[in-house]
Amino acid sequence: MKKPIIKIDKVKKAFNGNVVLDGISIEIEENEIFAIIGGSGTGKTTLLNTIIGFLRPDSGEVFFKDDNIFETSSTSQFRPVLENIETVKRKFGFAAQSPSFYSKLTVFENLDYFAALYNLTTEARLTNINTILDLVELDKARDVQAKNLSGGMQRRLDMACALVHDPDILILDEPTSDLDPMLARHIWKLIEKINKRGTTIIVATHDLSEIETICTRIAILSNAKIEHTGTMHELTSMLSRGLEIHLETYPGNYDKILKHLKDPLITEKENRGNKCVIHTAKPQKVLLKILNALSELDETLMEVNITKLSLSDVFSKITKKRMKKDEDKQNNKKEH
Amino acid sequence: MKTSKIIKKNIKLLTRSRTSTLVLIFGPLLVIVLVGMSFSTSSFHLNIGVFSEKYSDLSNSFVDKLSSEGYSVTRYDTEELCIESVKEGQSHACIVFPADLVIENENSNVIKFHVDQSQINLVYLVMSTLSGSFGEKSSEISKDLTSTIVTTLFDTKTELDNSKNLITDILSKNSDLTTNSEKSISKLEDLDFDTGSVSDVDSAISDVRNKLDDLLDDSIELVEDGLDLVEAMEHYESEVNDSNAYMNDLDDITDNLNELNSTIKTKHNATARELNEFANEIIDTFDDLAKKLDEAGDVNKEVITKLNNIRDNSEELKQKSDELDTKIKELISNINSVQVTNIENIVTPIKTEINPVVKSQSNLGFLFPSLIVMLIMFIGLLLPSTLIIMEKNSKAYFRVFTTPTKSWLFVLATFLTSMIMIFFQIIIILTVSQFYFKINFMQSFFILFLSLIVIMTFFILLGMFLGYIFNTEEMAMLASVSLGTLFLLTSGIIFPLESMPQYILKYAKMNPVVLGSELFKKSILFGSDFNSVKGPLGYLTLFSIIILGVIFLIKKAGKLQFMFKKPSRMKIKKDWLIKQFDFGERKAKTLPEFIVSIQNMSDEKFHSLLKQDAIKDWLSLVHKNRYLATKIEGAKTRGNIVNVLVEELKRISEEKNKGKLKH
Repeated sequence: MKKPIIKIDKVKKAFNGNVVLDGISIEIEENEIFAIIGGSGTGKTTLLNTIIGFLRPDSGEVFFKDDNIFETSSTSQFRPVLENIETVKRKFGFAAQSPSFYSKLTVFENLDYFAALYNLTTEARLTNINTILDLVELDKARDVQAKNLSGGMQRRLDMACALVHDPDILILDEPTSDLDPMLARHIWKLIEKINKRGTTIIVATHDLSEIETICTRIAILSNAKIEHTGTMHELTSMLSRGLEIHLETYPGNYDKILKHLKDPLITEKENRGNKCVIHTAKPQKVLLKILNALSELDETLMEVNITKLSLSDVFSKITKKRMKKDEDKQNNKKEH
Repeated sequence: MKTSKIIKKNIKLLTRSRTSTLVLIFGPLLVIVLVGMSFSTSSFHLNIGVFSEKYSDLSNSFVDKLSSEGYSVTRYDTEELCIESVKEGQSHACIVFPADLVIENENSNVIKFHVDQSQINLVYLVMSTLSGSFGEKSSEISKDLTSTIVTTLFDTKTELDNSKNLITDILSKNSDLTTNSEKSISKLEDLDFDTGSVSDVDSAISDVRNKLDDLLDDSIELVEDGLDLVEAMEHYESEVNDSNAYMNDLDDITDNLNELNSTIKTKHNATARELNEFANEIIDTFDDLAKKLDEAGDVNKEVITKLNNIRDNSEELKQKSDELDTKIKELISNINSVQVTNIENIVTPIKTEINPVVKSQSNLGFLFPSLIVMLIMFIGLLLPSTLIIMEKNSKAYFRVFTTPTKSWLFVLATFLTSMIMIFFQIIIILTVSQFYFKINFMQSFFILFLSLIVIMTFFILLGMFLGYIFNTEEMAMLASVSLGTLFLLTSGIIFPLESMPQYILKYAKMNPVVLGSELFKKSILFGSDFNSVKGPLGYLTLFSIIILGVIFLIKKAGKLQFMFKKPSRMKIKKDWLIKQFDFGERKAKTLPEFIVSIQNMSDEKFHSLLKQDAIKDWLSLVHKNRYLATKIEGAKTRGNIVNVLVEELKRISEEKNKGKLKH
């Protein structure tokens, strides 16, 4: 059984009356890669900053597990982040959205400087730097000035800087932003590698392409709240309760097709312009009905796919749901 | 079109960066205003120290003159103290008067000025101002002395003018005297004292006498002949017997006697005639003489009169001459009363001697302390501010923040970095100056070192302060340069501090550049000890501590603002409360709107808000009506609450109608 390493308890944070985090409660477990996904401006960075103690929540609290406390009760091992900032800084590594290092210092000089700020001895510094350089594959660029590194290398250097003191928890904020898919994939591989060394990773991202395969658990942040938290499987099952039938026909009168399909087995249907998507737990039965409907409506089947729900689908579903809720709320208000 | 767009964009960017705009616009304005205020006067406030072993009226008059001209004059007990006051900067000049300063022929009257030549922009002004004052006084004295001489001269002239009549009188009298004398002489010369006739009388008398003598002789001869005859006759008595013979003899005798008688008669007649002639002659002569004597008597009378006149005139002349003599004596006495006759002392009664209180140096040597402070100031302001801004704007700033490093460590590290850089520069400059400009820094090395540390600390901390309050290098640089310029302009390096109004001067003396220059001057030029520098050292240390405190406050505030900003609970609650009560598309603001909001909200929301005391708190915090808030405290249902609120509305309405409600 996995043990939590961070407990976020009803954290609220607002900036100038604008609520960014509204009662967030999450538990992050040891050695997992915990992804926080959400659209731009949904509060991911605020949440990460609150976790590491850079932002004081308006209410609620963030706790971290401190192994150095020799307590019998596991709950008492959790200490509030804000009251133990120095310990948190030692236990946590943080890589912000934009790389954070001295561009005029070499890779080694940067790592050596930041390692020194963590009060590491010379020996420990050298050991850590060599290990990290090897890990992030920058050992050949150790004497290159940071400004001369490529985008991907700079990102890796940034992660190396965050790891130089060998933290228990690594927090990554948008680690693949501004990177091309190849480099992004490389970074995700690196994150996986780091995690395999025993480092708990909390990553906030809106790059959903890789995380569903890498991340242990995912939290979807929307409208200042955590909409759902769970493994990829849990999320997809919760949202789709089945599979998706992607249908492409000619002439493609999808509204008509969807209107025609009235079956309790169909949980959801949507027109995506060039195709229509039908959600069901029993794709075989539904598919038969779809084919009947198509012949009735003189639609020629061009392509049919039965797929599982992707993370981006889950995310867009949730986002849409939230938007719909908001719209309803607005409408209600207007009616009033 | 494009230009106007670019201008608009530029103005927008500027106005949206409030700090930049404020510094850009108000920075230089502030500098101008402060500098303008500082140098709005046309006078100088100079402190003058004076010393004299014994003050005379003259030296006191000098001191009084200085006081009356607006100088602040302090009398010192010793010359050393007076000179020390110049070194200390308490006095701008020390004036040493000779004991018992009096303008005399023998005295050299040298007044010594001790000035601090390191105050290059002031020393010449002080010297010229004091020289002016003293020159004025000296001119006054010179004028007095000349005036005395000229007055004496004029008095003499007047006296001489006055004596002119006297002299004219004397001359006139003298002339009269001469004329009279000449006349008398002429008269006397004209007197005929020819005694020619008298000589004739004399010769005539002589002749007469001769003739009388001859007559006498003849008479005597006759007598003798008669006696002989008598004798012969007596003799003839015996011989009388011969009467013929006798008779012959007698005849002869008678003939002889007759002849003698005839001769005597002839002679007598001749003598009588001569005597008569002679008498006539004498009478003529005496007549002539009498006439002449008459004439002489007239002349004599006339001469006597003239001589009387002459005597009178002579007496008058003597009197006038005495008078003249007295006047001349008076004039001589007056001229002798002029004490100062030494031309040099009359032309320059007071001589001034300028003595620098420091060893003679080149102008660079005197300016060197201020130059060092300026250098430290500008590097101290620019370097740490740039370092901090670079760090703040660096990509690594956030990462540094994530490390367990105390904020004071960054402050210390930035401070030490700047300190090392400036110290390195200063060492180079001092070394070069020591060997090239021959400026000796070793005479008070400890004080110099201490001063360097304190001054560098202050300016570095000030630069760090600027670095922490600004966000861009440009703004920090502009602020540093503006502040540096302000410090420089009010430091006395360019314009003398003494030209500032008193109320600004006392603050300007606290200017770190002024304090720093003073410290360096004392250590480099005067070789002062610790006691004389503890004042400026103390001030700079105090300022440094204050700035350090402010830096920590800024860092703390910045950190709180950036990371741990926590709005007040009241504000959070108020914001939250406002959001809970909708009125249409907006939030309820007034009591009626609040009532409508309560009526329209869902049961779930109503009970939730009621549970959280939100309705009561809205009334208390948003509506600011505590009375009403306490009034609804007991109400548990929506109806009850609405009723209470409606009742309150009615009451307000009624009171409004009655005009009781003021607002």
